[in-house]
Amino acid sequence: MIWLLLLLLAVLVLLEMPIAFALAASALMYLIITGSIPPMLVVQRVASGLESYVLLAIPLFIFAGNLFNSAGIAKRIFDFAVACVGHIRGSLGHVNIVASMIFSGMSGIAQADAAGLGAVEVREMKRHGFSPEFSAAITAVSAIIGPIIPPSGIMIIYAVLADVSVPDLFLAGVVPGVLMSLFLMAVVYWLAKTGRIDAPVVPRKTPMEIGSAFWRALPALAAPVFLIAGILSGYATPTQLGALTAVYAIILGFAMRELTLERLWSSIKDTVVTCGVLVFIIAAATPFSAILALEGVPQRLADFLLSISENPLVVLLIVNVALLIFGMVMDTTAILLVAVPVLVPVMKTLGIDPVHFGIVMVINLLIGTLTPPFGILLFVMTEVAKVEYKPLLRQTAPFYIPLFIFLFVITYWPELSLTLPNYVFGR
Amino acid sequence: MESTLRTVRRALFHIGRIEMVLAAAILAGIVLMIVVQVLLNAGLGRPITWEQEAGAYALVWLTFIGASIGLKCMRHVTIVSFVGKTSPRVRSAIRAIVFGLILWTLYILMRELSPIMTIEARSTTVALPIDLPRSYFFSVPLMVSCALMTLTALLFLFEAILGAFGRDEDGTLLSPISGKV
Repeated sequence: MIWLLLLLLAVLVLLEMPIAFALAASALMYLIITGSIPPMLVVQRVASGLESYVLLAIPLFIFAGNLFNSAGIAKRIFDFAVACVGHIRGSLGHVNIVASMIFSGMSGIAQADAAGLGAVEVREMKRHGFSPEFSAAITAVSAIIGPIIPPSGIMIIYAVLADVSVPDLFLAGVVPGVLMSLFLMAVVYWLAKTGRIDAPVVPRKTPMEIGSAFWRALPALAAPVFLIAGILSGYATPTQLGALTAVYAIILGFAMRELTLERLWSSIKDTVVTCGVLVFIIAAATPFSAILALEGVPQRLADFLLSISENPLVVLLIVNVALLIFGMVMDTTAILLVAVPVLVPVMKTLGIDPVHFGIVMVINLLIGTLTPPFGILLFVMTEVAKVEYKPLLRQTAPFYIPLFIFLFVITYWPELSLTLPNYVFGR
Repeated sequence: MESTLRTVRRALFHIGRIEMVLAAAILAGIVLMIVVQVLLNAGLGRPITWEQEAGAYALVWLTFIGASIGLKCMRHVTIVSFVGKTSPRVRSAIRAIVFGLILWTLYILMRELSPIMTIEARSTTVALPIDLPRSYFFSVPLMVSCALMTLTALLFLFEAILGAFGRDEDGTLLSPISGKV
């Protein structure tokens, strides 16, 4: 009867019911129709499912990201990136990626990166003669670096669901995040070299100019360093680091005279709504996940996957393809909530490290935020850059195959993810 | 009819403002508490023992209040399908079905929460300086949020029904609740 649950969810989602309500409504309908489990048992978990100190890191990092956006940090980071890589063929395309990589050390939500730093990136790229569509496309693509490099909201959710350590996951994301940036820069270089994009180069900056840009961006550059240092030293938990980063952003913003009380209030309001929307999906999905577990879906799926192949490489391939397809039509958080409890036990059975699988899953689902029909980052960028959806999609298309190749590399080369956490934590 | 809708929207807007102030206070409280905890732990070696428990409870309240505000602002994540391509009246009819289903979901949640609140009230918090019923941090915030979202969903349902009957000439129905009414 589990098909009924999935059918109900699909119908409600197609009717454009908000995901959180669609998950809760389909689960409650299923319980009432089948009478298999008393609804009270699963409703009780809706609120208690949020009893997690680790999850508290999500609003705190969202808050920190919003504050950094309000504090005018984005422009300083962008200027520093221009000084460093603006002269390379591809110019501001590279700058966009490097700026996103730096900013990802402060913010953990791709949509926030695209809407905050993205607005600065698109404006500057247009000013330098880049097409609005390509500017929007590269901003959307580079925004997915944000949740791969710590901090990361999606990784925190995965860590809670899969019962793995947040610091392990955060560190496991560093190398893939940097590699992805280099990968994307290579694509931009190729696009510029083959004349597929018009990319006016910025003159090479003198060491003095680079030094000056570095000095201006230093307070912002220090934030990710503090964060990584905090994780490495074990001095503070990720949640505590989220709060400390937020306070740092407030002090920095006021010290630089960029943050006003009005902007602070605006950041708080945005954080409250984003947190309410995002974490509410987690709460509302609890009955859905509970039904899947009580109906034995994880075990059945494990049996099914293992009946196809017991080779971890084949299973990873199947799972990746399935997640890419789901990522096209579903929200990232919703997929995580449904898929992690089902897939992680299978991966453990096959001897796949859940931290490595977490990175694979995060990258896979982030690619889903760029793919139609439900590529949330594409929708965000149509608003931010004021461009049409279809031309934006055309400009995003050259990045899909490299991103799939990158996912393949990360999937089948676990050392890229695991070496850093294993080295740091002495395993 | 229009003035009634305006009054309801204005009332929901003011409720939303109270919710926002409350949520902002919770967020600020969380940040302050954690910073004090880190400073006390590092400086005096005397951590606040109840920080983690209080933080988890604060997240529950923050989430459910934020969810209610999110519904007023129409910020809940939705997958765009065919609905936007239909005529305004069909679109409104579909939205009416959606908000009807949301109301049904909220009703079931509230119905099931009533006995849960009684059961949860029997156990108390663990590390907080004062013992409080656990229901204050689980079923109560969810119940409050469901009740507040019910008010918003009722307005949107009513507006969607009006739209389905072609009463949305100026296209102002089913818009986020803001101060501009």
